[in-house]
Amino acid sequence: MITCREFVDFLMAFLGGELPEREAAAFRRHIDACPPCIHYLDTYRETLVLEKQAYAEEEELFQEAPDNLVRAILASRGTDG
Amino acid sequence: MLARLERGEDAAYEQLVRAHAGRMLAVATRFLGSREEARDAVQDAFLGAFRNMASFRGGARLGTWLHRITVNAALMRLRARSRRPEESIEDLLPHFDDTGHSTRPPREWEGEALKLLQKRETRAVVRRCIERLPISYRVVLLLRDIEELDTEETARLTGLSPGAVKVRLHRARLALRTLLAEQFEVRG
Repeated sequence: MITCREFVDFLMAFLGGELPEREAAAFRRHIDACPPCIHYLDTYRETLVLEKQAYAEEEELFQEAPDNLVRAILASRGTDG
Repeated sequence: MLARLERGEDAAYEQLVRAHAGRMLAVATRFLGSREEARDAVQDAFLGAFRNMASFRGGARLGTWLHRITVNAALMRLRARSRRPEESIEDLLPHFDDTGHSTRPPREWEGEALKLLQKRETRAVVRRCIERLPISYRVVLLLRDIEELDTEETARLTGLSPGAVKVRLHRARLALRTLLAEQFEVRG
């Protein structure tokens, strides 16, 4: 039976399908028996969802480049080499 | 577009810059934190792109190519920053007692992630938490999870081994989880 520490240590490998079957089975048994780790797994998954969307609106906000930046970039092209 | 750029048409260059600079600025800001430094990184990126335009053969999309150049430019600026000791990530990682049990069992979060995401304010909170990660961990998290580079590419860009990238990514995610828990855990 793995410990909660081992559960957390190998969580990413488990979710990535990288654990050998024997270890993955031990992992699944721990999930069945440990409510705090079930909860930790849920919040870890939520973390991944939240971080992936964190910059979504930033892309919209930055759609148009500031005019002075555009001019500076084009000016530097003229002075390069 | 490529042909016009190769001919050196000024209008084509302006069209290129206007089409991509905004998004490149967003990418550079994620890594550098400072809008001003991000602007410098985007200028560096375009300068590099202009120099190497002749060698761009259209194997990847132009936008993808510029994106990669921007990430490189931002990472170069990060490396050039003064070498301050990085704060430790240890306090943000879960702690366990001698029996392997958590010393602070996790509590529920208010609402599911998808519902939380509907609030614009939530995304700002998540971004601020990512910014609180120690820089070397934040860079790996951004490269792997946000820029969606694979382990090998991330290793190449950061100078870490692929194994170290995996360890650092996992620790960055655990630390981020801790920071988000501070924001979203149900009180009481």
